[in-house]
Amino acid sequence: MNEHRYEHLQAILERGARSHGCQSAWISSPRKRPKKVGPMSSFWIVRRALEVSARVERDVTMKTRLARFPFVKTLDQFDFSFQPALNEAQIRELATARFVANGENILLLGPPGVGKTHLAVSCCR
Amino acid sequence: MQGISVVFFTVADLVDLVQQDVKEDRLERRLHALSKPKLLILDEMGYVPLDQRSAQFLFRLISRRYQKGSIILTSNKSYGEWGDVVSDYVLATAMLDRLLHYSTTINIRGESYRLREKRKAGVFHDLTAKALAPRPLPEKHKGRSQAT
Repeated sequence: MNEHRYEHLQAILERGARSHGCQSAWISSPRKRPKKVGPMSSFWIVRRALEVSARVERDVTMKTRLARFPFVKTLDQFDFSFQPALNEAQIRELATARFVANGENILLLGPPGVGKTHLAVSCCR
Repeated sequence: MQGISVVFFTVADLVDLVQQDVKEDRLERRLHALSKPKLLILDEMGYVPLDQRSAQFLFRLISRRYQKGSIILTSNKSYGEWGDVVSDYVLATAMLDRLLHYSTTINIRGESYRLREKRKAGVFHDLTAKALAPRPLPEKHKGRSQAT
């Protein structure tokens, strides 16, 4: 398996591990393992990575459905040029969801139609 | 940003829910359920005035989630006007106190994206000005908008 592909799979596994609250992914470090990874075990890595990515995807769709959003929009769909007063960097920082880990709140204030709901929804996608 | 449980509610929906839950006697269970998700989005605070029971419910929800779960709240009202929305100034102050302790406020000033296209096309004048002082459009303007 070539290096690039290996890193890609590793990224998928890490992501899966994180979203399921595990300490580390199934393969612990790309530095230690690549040499040992033979043709057979690479098959298992691919299989495992596919499983994990499918599970993550299911998890996200399920949670999106449970959240009952009025619509699903991403931050990239937000037209920052239309609201110049808005600090884009600040919004992007919020979208990393660090505030959720700290239990903090966000209050979006403004007249109707300036995109408060859009921002609120996209902050958690 | 995966693996975070989110629930989205408009405040109007919440008021409806509370009224229904009171009838069916399961307000406590609802409170418990809404305290659980990591992130709660409350949309459109301020359009619908809260009755006393929903205001109390909202207050309990906010204090339960205080320092435990996050809330994203969108509102068209500034903090000073919350007392009118909740129709109880003491409760509004207590709510805001907890909400604002760990929080980021983003104030958006600007025009509506929904009406942007209309405004460009010149279909309507200025909605806010019209709402404040309703009066017929001047003759000159009428003629122009018919022509386009």
